[in-house]
Amino acid sequence: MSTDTVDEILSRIERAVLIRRIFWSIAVTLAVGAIYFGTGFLGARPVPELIRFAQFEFFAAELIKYVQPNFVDLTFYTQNNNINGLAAIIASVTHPGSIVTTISSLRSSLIISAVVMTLTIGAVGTILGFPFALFFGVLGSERVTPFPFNFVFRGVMSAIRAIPALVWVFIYAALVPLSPLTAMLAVATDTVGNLGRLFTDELEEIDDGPIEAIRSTGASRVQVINFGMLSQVSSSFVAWTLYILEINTRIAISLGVVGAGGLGQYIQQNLNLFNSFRAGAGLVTLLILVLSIELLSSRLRARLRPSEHDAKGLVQSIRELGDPDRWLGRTTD
Amino acid sequence: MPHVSLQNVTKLFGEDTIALDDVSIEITAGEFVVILGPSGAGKSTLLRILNGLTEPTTGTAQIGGSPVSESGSDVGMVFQMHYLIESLSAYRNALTGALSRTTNLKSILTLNQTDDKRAALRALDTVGLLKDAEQRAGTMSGGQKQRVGIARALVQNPSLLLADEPVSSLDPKAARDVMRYMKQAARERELTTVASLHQVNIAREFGDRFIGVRDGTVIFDGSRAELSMDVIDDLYYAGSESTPVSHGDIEGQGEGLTKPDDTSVSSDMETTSGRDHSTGTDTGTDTETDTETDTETDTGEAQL
Repeated sequence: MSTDTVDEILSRIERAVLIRRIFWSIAVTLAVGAIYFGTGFLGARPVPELIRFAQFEFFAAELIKYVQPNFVDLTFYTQNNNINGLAAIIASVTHPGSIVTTISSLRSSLIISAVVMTLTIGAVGTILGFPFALFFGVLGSERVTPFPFNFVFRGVMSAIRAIPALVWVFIYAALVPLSPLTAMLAVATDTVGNLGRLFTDELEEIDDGPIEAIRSTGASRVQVINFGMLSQVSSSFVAWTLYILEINTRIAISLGVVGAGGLGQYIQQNLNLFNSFRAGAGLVTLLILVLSIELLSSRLRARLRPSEHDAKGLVQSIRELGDPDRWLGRTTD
Repeated sequence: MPHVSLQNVTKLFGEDTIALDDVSIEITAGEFVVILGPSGAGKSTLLRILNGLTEPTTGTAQIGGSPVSESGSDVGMVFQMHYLIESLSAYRNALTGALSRTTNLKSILTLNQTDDKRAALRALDTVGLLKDAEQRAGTMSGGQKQRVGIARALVQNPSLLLADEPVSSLDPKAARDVMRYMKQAARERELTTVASLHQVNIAREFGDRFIGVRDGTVIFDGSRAELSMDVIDDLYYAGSESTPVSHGDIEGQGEGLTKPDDTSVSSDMETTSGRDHSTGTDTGTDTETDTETDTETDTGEAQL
């Protein structure tokens, strides 16, 4: 190989580059073709025709309404006194008593009440689903349950995942009439499928060493699982649970759209009534809610997840959450 | 009656991989035995059979007159990579040694008996880590982690302590510390100890009896005085394609900087050994070892 000249190697490299370019051109052509035929199959009309039929003016008019949100439904106070626009926010803040009565009223027609309802559906649904997720997730791991039997638990989780939360809520509606309570049960069920699966996957990746070490002390099977396996993944489990909490909040909103209460229902009802200014207020609230939960959850998870060379105890990780430097990404050590 | 006895133990992995071939060893109570041998010789398999983690294909393994079983807590094990629970404190790691004496619920809720809690702290004291008992294992140095591993094994109240290459991932000073604590613990508690080691010089310094294993068979079994450089050459380099390094080199890498069976670093050994000879860094206190190695260094240089 050392007899190769610079020119020979250069031509070889250039040939490889050419082949790569051809490959990428083919890939891009295939992707464009897939979009063209796919949209055609689903009944889209050719672009000029689409433009002729589209209600661009109506669409633009609606969009403009969304960015002028009307918060008249924020609290009882603003609704009763008909305080419109952004002034309703100030009026609500200056009348905190009204916020409290609004929250406790459980009405999807009031924004703050709807937000609290949605958050409760997401959070309590997650907490309710967690022990079941832990049970199925741990028993679904091949390390805990021997091969064919772990598929009993994995199968249950797969079946739960196969049915979306939007369908679960209607299945439970046969049990309890469609309400925030039904939504909470649907979220909890969905949590078992998704969080349990994440637990199982996390357990498949742990080191064998500590397991063997604990086993060699003469520990029982339960002790081996608890000390050898679960102690390796406790921080990751909390981090995954926070991630699922974040997802469950969004699921709670979509369940509201089908009528299970909460912010989703507020937005959907106002869109149906063409109250676009009010729907806009709901959308702005939704944006703030989802963004703040994502931000909080991702920062929490980043703090909790142990890095490879710095395995942390759960308690210490939580204690370190109080350190503002770490939140801002400044490390002191 | 021997405390540990292996009778005609053979271990096959699959159809034709022989890890151990008709091995018979007897160890009396209180002995500190070091197993030497190149990688893949069967050292780990031997220890795992004594621990019950692996079953012999044929033959029997007995400890204190009864057959070895996996659930037995009578055998304490120190692992090469310490295998601690890094998110827990040194104390709670040591306490896992008492798991076999604690019910499932009590162990999960850390409602251990006071005796066991005392035993865990005493074991940490034995390995010189009492004041670091509350430190999380993940933040400890390699040597400290290994000492916690020893403490965990001691809490089991074993009659036999096994150590599978306990110091091979440590620097020479930490390695000596760990071995010193292990030896001290074995002496204090009159433990029978079987350790497999890579570093010949550390083995010499701490072992009382040496068992050389190669290709699954015992080829040497004797005292420190009998463990000559010829034996070590035979153990590590006979039959291998690599050129045997001179005795001087083996002594030189004795600071634990290179592994004897790692032929890829043999060129580095030259420089290492040169430096060690000039500075004379052998800090061993055992005069017997010193004189021996000195003579062998001479013969090594003569060969060069």
